[in-house]
Amino acid sequence: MAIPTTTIEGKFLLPSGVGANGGKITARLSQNGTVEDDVTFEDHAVGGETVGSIGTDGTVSLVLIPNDEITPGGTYYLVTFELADGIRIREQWEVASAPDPVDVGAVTRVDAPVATPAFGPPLVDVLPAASSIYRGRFRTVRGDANEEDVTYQCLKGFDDVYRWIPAILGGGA
Amino acid sequence: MAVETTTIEGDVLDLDATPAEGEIRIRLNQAGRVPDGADSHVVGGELRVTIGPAGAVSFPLIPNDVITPAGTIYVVEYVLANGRRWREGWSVATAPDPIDIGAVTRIAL
Repeated sequence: MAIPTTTIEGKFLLPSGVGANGGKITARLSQNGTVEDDVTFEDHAVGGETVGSIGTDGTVSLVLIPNDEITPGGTYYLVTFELADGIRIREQWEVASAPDPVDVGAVTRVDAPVATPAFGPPLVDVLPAASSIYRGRFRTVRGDANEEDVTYQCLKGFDDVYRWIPAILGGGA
Repeated sequence: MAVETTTIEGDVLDLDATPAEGEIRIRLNQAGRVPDGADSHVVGGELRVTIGPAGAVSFPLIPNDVITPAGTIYVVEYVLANGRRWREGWSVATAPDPIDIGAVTRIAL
């Protein structure tokens, strides 16, 4: 018997950047389905609930049948992180056959919230060093007296080097 | 590798300017994703920070500007031993680091 699976790994971090102190992850399918055995080609029913663990260092461990192997198409997982302190976080995932394993932070969220910041780019006095961390992000550098503020976006050039490029967001005075 | 953090430091004072006692509870307004080298982790849950002697605090936070989706904020609740509570919204940047707790950008909740 060889049922296709994808391993979810990585970490659940607290806002401090330290791993969460234990807990569990529960995953349910949005609807029951079937999956075909890669060896026997028999169809099996798939449903119910799978529980994975969050270690005391935040390490996530969960194995799921990828949604792209499940019939009917279009299923997704209803995932709940339940931390040791009782906090629960719910997400919806679409798990693919590849890559396997996949980082927990790289699993496709089908409930991914659209970023709608109620405020502009962070104000800084000096731009941080451009790097992949800031790819696509904006920063506004405060102008001194009688100088205008300037907004930059971090972009990767054709030479794979990251740079802060002045962004044209609107007209000046 | 390690995820980017910014250290929040300084003092928490009560209304009469005496050092506060209690704790600070910090949550993201929504769970996010944070890069760690080539890896990607989930960030969420609650951080509880005890306010130390003389009201001093010093703790790291993953800055909002490295969290996906963009536009997250921290919901910060001060819970003092004398029963006083209040909440603030914070947007923490990568720089400056460290940053005074009173200098963190406040966001209306």
